[in-house]
Amino acid sequence: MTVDRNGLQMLSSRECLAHLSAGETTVGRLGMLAAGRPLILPVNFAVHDAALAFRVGDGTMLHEAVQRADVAFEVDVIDPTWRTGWSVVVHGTAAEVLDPVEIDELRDLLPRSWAAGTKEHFVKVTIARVSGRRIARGAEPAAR
Amino acid sequence: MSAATVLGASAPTGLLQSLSVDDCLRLLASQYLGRVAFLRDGVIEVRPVNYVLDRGSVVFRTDHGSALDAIVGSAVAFEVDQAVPSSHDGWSVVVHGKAEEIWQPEELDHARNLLLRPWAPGERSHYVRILSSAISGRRIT
Repeated sequence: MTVDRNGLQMLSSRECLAHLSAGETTVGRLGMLAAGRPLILPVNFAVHDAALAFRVGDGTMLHEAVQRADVAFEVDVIDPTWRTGWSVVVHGTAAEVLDPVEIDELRDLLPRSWAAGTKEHFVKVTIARVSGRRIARGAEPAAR
Repeated sequence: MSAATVLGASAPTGLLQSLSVDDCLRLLASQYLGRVAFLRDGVIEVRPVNYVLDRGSVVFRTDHGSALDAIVGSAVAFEVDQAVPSSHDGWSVVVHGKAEEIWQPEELDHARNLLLRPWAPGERSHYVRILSSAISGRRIT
């Protein structure tokens, strides 16, 4: 078992991917750069073909911003009472899905996006790097 | 079904509504777990953090390390969201601003009293405040 500087147990890549794929949560937070500044927003995601996939609305700022962008995607499940859980961060490149077959698959797979009523696009983040930590009682999450 | 799934599933029939700054602050005050996005060596990072809303700004704790170095003095984005399964309701609030370390003794005492959660023994905690330049939120109803 590997622990980080705060005594939090580091998850292996395999454990990270298992958490992401297990459907424990469908919401992740997408972090990226827009005009040189950090941006963050929640999106509903699913794991598809060893990548993270989500919907974006047509003509939205997000749709513009994710074109071949380097992103960080954070997913966590943290119990509010016991302060236990896990957090996984994926780094990768986001790109719009253009293959019609894949789009159909993603339409079936993904929960509906937050944005209602607009034409949608599908984006995938290829997983270049993944890291994660188990959050144990007494060791709250903190930026590190 | 997770709250998040309900939130997502409710969207097609729901309406996205922008929230006022007052509503954003009220919602921020109601939670304690957020996610902060920052740049480290030119790479975007996202981390979950416990926070409190203190006098209208977000305060959280971090240990001494590369994240602290990356966050302090820099522009960050901070996000909090919540889905309410029973009412098919959800919201998200984002704060943009510059992060500053709290170092003045009185301010530090104040921050320590805000964030009383135990920390791993031997760790040096640092307290960070986000001086918000923009705050925005949306709700699905």
